[in-house]
Amino acid sequence: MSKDSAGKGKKYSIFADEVLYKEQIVLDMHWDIIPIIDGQHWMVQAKSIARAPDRCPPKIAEFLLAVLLRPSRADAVVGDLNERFDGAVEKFGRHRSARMYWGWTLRSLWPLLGRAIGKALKWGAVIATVRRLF
Amino acid sequence: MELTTLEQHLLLAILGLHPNAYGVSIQDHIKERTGHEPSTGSIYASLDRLEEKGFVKSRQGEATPERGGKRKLYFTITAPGQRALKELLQAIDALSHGLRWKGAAI
Repeated sequence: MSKDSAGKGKKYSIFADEVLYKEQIVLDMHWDIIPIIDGQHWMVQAKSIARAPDRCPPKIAEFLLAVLLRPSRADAVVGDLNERFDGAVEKFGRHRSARMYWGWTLRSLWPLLGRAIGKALKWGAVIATVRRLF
Repeated sequence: MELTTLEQHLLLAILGLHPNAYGVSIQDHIKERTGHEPSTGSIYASLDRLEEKGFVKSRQGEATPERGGKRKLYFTITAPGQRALKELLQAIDALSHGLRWKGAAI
């Protein structure tokens, strides 16, 4: 099965070792993986992750989080905010949800940056002490 | 080891939501029960501290379309985390035992 042959809504049968391959392309497509009977074969269903334009959170806010946080945390934080945004669009519409997303982003950046700066200062103090001693 | 109020709430939420404790579910759980909604950032900053202390551990979960292809980060409480939480709850229980509230009924 190749990435090109994968289509939205189609089902494919793949072997367990291909699950690793799936991990590499998960960024481009979403997959539902269902183990079949013997546990060695898997059924996957490809779904497009392309979002409708009115379902896209503000790109700049998303970018800010991605740039300012370390990658492992940025993914989790952006994912959580996107999940909230998705629910908010249904309730409040795109424009209000976009404003809310900015609010969540700014509220989230402050404690995370504060922690990062605190850590940097702590390390800075340790390095300065070591330099003074030697 | 001292725990902030948010860290205590997080440990209790993670224990209560096990094994489905991730950012959004933790935030909802705390909001429903305390009426206070911590920001996503303060939750992750505190979870970072708890992870450093060895009280929680994280594992990556699945990516979903609503999350724009970003993976969830699930948290579970560790044995030292459970011990710290238990000691804290026992201390609160001991301190609050036999209290007589002054003034109007609470």
